[in-house]
Amino acid sequence: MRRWASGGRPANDAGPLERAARPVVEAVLAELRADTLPRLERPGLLMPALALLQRWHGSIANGTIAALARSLGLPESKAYAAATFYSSFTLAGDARKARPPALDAALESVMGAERAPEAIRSWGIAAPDGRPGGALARCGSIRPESVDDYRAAGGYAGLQAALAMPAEAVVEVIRTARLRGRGGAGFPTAAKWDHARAVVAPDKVVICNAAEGDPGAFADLAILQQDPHSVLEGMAIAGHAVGAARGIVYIRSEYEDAGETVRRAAREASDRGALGSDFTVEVFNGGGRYVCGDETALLNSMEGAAGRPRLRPPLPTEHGLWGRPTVVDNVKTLALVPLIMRHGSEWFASKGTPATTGPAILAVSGFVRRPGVVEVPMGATLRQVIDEGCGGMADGAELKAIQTGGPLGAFLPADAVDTPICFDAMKAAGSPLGSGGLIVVDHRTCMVAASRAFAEFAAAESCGHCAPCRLGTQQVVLALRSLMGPGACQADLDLVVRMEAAMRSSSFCAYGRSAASVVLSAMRAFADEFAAHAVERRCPADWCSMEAM
Amino acid sequence: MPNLIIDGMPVAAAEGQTVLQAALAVGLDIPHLCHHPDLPPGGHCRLCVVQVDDGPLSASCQLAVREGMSIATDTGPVREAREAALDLILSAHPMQCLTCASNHACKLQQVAAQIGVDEARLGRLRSLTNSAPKDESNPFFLRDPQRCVLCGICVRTCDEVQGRGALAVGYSGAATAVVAGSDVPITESICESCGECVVRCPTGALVHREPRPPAREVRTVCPYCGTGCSLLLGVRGDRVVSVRGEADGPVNRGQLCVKGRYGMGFINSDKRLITPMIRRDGALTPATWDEALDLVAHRFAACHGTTFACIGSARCTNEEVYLTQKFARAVMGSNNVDNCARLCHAPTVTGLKQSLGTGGGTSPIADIAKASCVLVVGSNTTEAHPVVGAHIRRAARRVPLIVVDPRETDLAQRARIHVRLRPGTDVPLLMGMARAILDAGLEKLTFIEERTEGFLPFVQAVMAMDPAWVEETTGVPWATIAEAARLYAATAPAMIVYSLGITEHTHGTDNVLAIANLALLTGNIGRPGAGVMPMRGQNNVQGACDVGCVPDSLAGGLPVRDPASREAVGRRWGVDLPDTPGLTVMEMLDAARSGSIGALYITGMDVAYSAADTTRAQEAIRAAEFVVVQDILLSGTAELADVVLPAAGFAEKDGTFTNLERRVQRVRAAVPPPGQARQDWQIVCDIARRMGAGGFDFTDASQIRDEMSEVAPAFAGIRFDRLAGDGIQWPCPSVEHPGTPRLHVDRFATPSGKARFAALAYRPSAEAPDESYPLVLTTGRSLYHFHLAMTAHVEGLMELNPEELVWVHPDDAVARGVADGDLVTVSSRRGSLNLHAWITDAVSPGTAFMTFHFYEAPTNRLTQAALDPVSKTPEFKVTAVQVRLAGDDDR
Repeated sequence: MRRWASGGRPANDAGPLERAARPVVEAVLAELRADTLPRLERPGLLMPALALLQRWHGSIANGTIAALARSLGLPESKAYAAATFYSSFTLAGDARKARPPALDAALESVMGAERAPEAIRSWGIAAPDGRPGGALARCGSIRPESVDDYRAAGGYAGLQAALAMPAEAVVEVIRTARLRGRGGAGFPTAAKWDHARAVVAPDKVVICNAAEGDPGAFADLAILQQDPHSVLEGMAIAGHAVGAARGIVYIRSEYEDAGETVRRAAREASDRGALGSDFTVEVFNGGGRYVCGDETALLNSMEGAAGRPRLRPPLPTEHGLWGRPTVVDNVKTLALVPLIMRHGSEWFASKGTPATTGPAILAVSGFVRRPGVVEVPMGATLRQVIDEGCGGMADGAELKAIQTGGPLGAFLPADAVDTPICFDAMKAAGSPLGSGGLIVVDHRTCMVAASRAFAEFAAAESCGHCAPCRLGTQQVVLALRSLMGPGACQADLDLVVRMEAAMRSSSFCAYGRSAASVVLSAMRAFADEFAAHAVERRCPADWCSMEAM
Repeated sequence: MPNLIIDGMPVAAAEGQTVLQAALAVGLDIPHLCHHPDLPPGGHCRLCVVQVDDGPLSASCQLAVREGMSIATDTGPVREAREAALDLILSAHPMQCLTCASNHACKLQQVAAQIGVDEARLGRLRSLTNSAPKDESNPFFLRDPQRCVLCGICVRTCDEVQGRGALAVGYSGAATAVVAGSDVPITESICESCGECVVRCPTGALVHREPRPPAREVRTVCPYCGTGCSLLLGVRGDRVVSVRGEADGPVNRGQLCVKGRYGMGFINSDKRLITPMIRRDGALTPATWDEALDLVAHRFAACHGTTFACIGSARCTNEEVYLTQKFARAVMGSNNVDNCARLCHAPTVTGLKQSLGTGGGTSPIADIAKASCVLVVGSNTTEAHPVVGAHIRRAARRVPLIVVDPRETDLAQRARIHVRLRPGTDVPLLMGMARAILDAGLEKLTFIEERTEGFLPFVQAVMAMDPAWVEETTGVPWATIAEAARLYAATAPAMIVYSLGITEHTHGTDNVLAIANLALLTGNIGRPGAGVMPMRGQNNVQGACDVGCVPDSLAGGLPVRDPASREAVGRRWGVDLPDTPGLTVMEMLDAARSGSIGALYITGMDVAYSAADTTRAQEAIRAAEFVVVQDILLSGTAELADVVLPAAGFAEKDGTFTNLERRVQRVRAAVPPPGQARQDWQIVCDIARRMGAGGFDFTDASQIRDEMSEVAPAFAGIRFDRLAGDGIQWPCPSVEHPGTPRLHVDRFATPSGKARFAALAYRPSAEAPDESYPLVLTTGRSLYHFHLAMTAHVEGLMELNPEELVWVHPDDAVARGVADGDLVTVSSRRGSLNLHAWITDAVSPGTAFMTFHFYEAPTNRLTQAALDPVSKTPEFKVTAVQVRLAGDDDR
């Protein structure tokens, strides 16, 4: 029998695969209590449902996407596009799926970087009473999920203080503290909150951006694992300030365990009434894409779409999750907010530098003696962080460069080690502070190989939306691969420069604009090393096999 | 009006424009690839970057205009960025221009030329082309992912223009690709093959399979449904080789559906009739025009008066249909003249005329976009009137959509509320909705008092509809009915769209009256975004009724019974007109069966297969003494005829069609008729002249139009010379009058000027399911077909929808041991058919569904000739049937 083409079949006609997948999809949606969600928000269950399907069945069978899409009110194509966008889902029979290379492993081999979120040191930030007063001060000394422990350590006092004030006054406190967002851009938090507060809407949302995706960044993870209530408290304060009753922690899929910790902490906080009368926090698990750290990509991803950045304006504070005014703040930013409310804006502003107040929360990895999470006042130098925070360089390692700002950042050469840590000084030195990940590179590292690892990451994590980033990152990878082999030539270097300029000037989003900045910074700071590859076909670090096989 | 400077030139932009739009509007071309004027910005290609206030670059397609901004479109940094972006795109593009179907029409070629490509510069980039296989599944177009530049235009088109969402940008990074459904061949996705994405694709990634550029193009109107889309037929020599939507088309703005764009194969079909045929020794054999016309004239002459019956064609032009009914009345002295509206929307004409005073849709199609709520009743609009359906889908993205339909149609799935009623229970449902509106106090009393009459008896009838009884009768929970009613009443302006689900019942006129009641109750008539829109089926079915091809009215709706009207028209024609309304289509067939029709003249209607109960219809045609069929293809009806006359098709004639919003639009000949085929109006004139009649000496269709304008006051101002652009919506009483897009703005066309409520009671359908025939069969149209013959001669459409299937609910299938794809016998009290079953819960338990597009399984063998007493339209929508495995005789 010949069938009608699908276009002519009734809108709800399901093929055999889809029909077969219905029961599992229904079970998953029942587990997620899909029926409690308004129709408009049901597409947002796509990622949680895919994650659950995968956990239950190992991979996502053919037909499942169609069944799920239909249940959630999404076109199948859009659901499929979203499912294939995230790296954490495995679709049965999907051979084309590009998975980002295990960059952490690449970095480990090239630069010796590994995550060490358990080692936490906070120094130089005293509370008004003289005791350690940094955002990380409690880590390790309290049970992470315990409201009682957190309260005993002074927690939720900031929220109490905030709830006693009108919303405008809370924003004013944050403004006078001059808090700048720790996610990377250093945007004044009060300005963002004020914008969201001013929008008249019945329903607003506060989102904690815990999509920490920078290789070498793990401070958010440390806070979420060890002191989740500080983040919840910060969200509740933000909620009060902007008029939002709903908080959502968007957590990267690799942090599933930390997500569970936050979930339990949020449940306990709710049960105990610790978040105020009407503020609730839920946890949303991301799907493993770097670019979802962009707040608009994150919103798309929560709405069941591929996590590609949106066009701005409108800003999320005006038109965010499901069209509601939405404040998206980084984990570290939110963890600092309770301190400000508790100790006052003057106290906060007195820490750090005039331009960047308060503590810097850094994750240090690479060739240092003691990698870990380090909290210091803004304005401390990189050298202080390495020497005093991390016990100096590892045995036999000489400082060659410090990689900061993640894959959109740069390499700072060793001679910049006295740069003070703050958004502006770092930027002036040529490398953004970003979200505070520092990878310390030693003299044995080949900067071409290190650049290539970042370039591969940039290409794999490109969302594919715009031509310069999607294709430019690929060209950079191919040029760097060439540079590491017998065909190396000056044209490879020229091409990288040209591609970087094109991406920087015309990509759609911040990711694309900086997707080759790490590579370019290495080429500038270590021009001799790149020239050795390109002209002499020699790898000074003896890492690359430059000879023809 | 923000003022900005672009390249030193002051530009006054419109509010809300982007810099790119503002520049293009003043003729300043900024290179771009992923921008399309119909679509929101994509921001993919980044070729349109400009420099803002001497600062950073910005993509002009996404940059909102601001007062005082200064834009430079061609600075050094801009050129460098553009060249790099272009080089990148080219590095991923196969350079096979000469063998590419888009060669010369390729936007990438254009921007490459505009920006400039340097071979050495480009050569430094490594090739990033992919090797993904072509998707050749669609009969009308090809997809080549290797040539795709990922501009996202196809995806945005499917989302924004067609409202379908078949495509998406899947995967990411280097693997990024446009996917259909779960990355399947496109015909396995929900793609409707409308080709809108193909039209907009800037490269060779989506191309028509037969991309033959025409030598010239002719603007005309689509011959399929009543939407009235404007087409450009592309011609090479004497053949139509291409079709595209006319961007200025008032209804479609360039958009077309799969039939409009790809369904024109019948024009050049070698099955076209090219010579007259006369039945000799039982077989139709070719004859000369003289032989055929002499025979026809001779036989017709013997049947003057009521033994002559004529079925005009709703496919022909207004001018031709006018002439056909003039022939019947003036030459044959018979009011036995009707058209296929009798089988579909006659209840609309009778119902709306009774209620509102005019038997036509009240509003322009464009008003759908102005509605705050759309209520669709008994219309599978996205398949039967796809371009109107796209209007509704676009509206449904913004405003609530309510769908009343026993089936889960595409629109039903997008609806805020789907009211899934039992077939044939429309009056209780619609009156129940009226009750819910009254219960909630949502009626518009001022409107009711000022502009309507008959409210009190109506309310009494409404209050007799007990909610529990309504719920039981319709099978819809009262809460759902009430919610739908309140949503419709409380969200003004609200528009009602309805179609054959309402009219094709023995209570079809009542159903239409019930629809009008709802609109009157809520004041939803006579203003933008409100109204009642019947989806008329055939390209010119509105016109066929308008110009008097019905037994009880003359052109312009003048009643046959009215002596003054008869007198006026008769004087112009120089004859005395018969004063008794004639027979309707179904009555003609009955008369023929009983031997009282001497000559039956059928133009362009396949009545032997489209009438209800085709066994009876075919008996009737055989019983008529002399049958003449005039058509473009040898239809099933033509095979039964004594004389077959080859007619010109729509692409071969001049004239006008009237669409479902009463818009009279110009039809233009693009090619000559094949063989000896002649224009329908010429054939009518030929016969009339041979019979010695005067008043048939036309040499040109415009002369017929002029006569019609004299005869019918409603068309007085509609002349060919005024129809060059958007056409004119009647009534148009003078050549100065602009036409009437919206009816009933100040007064209704009833004698009192007020609309009339109808107090209705429930009359069950003629046939109820019983033990022998336990299922209720409803019928409808498929997206890929129209009726029978036309699309049967378009290969691609047959490929997409090759055979009739009966849709059966899984519960009913299980009870019968029927599996998906099994051969089953569908039988009714009138006959049976063998066809394959399709198991789907798009139909409710206890109901089945079939289309009516295949001679191999003529659905109307099952349907019954039970008629609506007012309009005489048969009840196609409720037929009691049994479905059994074929060969399974056990009951």
